[in-house]
Amino acid sequence: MKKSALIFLILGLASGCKNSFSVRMTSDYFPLKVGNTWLFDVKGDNNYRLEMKVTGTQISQGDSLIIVESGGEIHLFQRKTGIVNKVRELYTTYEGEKVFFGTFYEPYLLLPPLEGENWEREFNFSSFHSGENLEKSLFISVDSVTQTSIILNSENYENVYRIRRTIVEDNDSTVEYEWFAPDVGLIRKEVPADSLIWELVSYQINE
Amino acid sequence: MSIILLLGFNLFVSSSVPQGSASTDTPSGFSLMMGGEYKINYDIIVSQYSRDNYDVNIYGILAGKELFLGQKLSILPEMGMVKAGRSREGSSDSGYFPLFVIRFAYLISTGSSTFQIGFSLREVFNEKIGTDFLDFGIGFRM
Repeated sequence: MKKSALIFLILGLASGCKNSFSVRMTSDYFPLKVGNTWLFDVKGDNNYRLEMKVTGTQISQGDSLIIVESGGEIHLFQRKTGIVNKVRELYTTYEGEKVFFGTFYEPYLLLPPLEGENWEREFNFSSFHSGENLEKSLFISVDSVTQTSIILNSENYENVYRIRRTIVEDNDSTVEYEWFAPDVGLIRKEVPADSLIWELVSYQINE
Repeated sequence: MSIILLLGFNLFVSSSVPQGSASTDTPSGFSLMMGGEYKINYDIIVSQYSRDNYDVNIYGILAGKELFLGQKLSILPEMGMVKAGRSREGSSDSGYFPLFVIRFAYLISTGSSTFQIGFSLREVFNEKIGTDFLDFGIGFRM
């Protein structure tokens, strides 16, 4: 009887402990509630502070989109079960004029993330402009999803997922690394080609 | 030295009802319980189901003491450990969890003291992996 009581006590105590798997499984790696704010130190050619804030929502073609503002730019995200899509508009400049190709949904982050997974999407657009048929292709791939921990501004973030995002637009490619922390979201971003690094300084997440 | 092993044997096959408005899971599984001399029950839990855009599988073993509430009804609080995993397109992640389960068993009289047929109702408390489900089971005890 004493042995059973001891086993139950140990299991009871163990059930109260924080389990990293349950953190990874149940946390939101990209919380997009209106009012959520992240403040980043941006280091590159110029060093400055950048605020990223969820400012509202809008309905577009029947989809509910989330508006995120950073550095005067507006980004739109679509939050669906198990996935965050980034809504992007594709333009090009032809003979001094801005030509619009279309709107597309980039699969930005799969939720909850899993180490080792990868996904990719290819978009091909064409637009008839001034008697010319203009074409544009975009290839986005995410791979190298790695679980890690990272210290930023003396704060230790655990159960972090780092992803590598490769964007190939026509013949130009850009590689970005992004770190997402549980119930925080984006905490670090690195664009090696531009020697650009974002690092989270502070954040405010609404429950 | 001699070892005397007195085992009862229960087999309950169950299917689960998902709980919660956001749940799309349809777990199912079976449990195998062996009641010993001291009415300590062991329970194997196996569940596999899909959730959102990934699959969940749970395997574990539980132990508990059966408390009889009259001739036909018993309540079995059980604790144990489970290995829970999730996977999506070849990638997977897993962890170990303590688990607390309450099972109710209702036994139908068969006229035999060594073979009984019954129904079981099991509530699995597993909030830590975002899972909470109710098992309905049917099986026998001998």
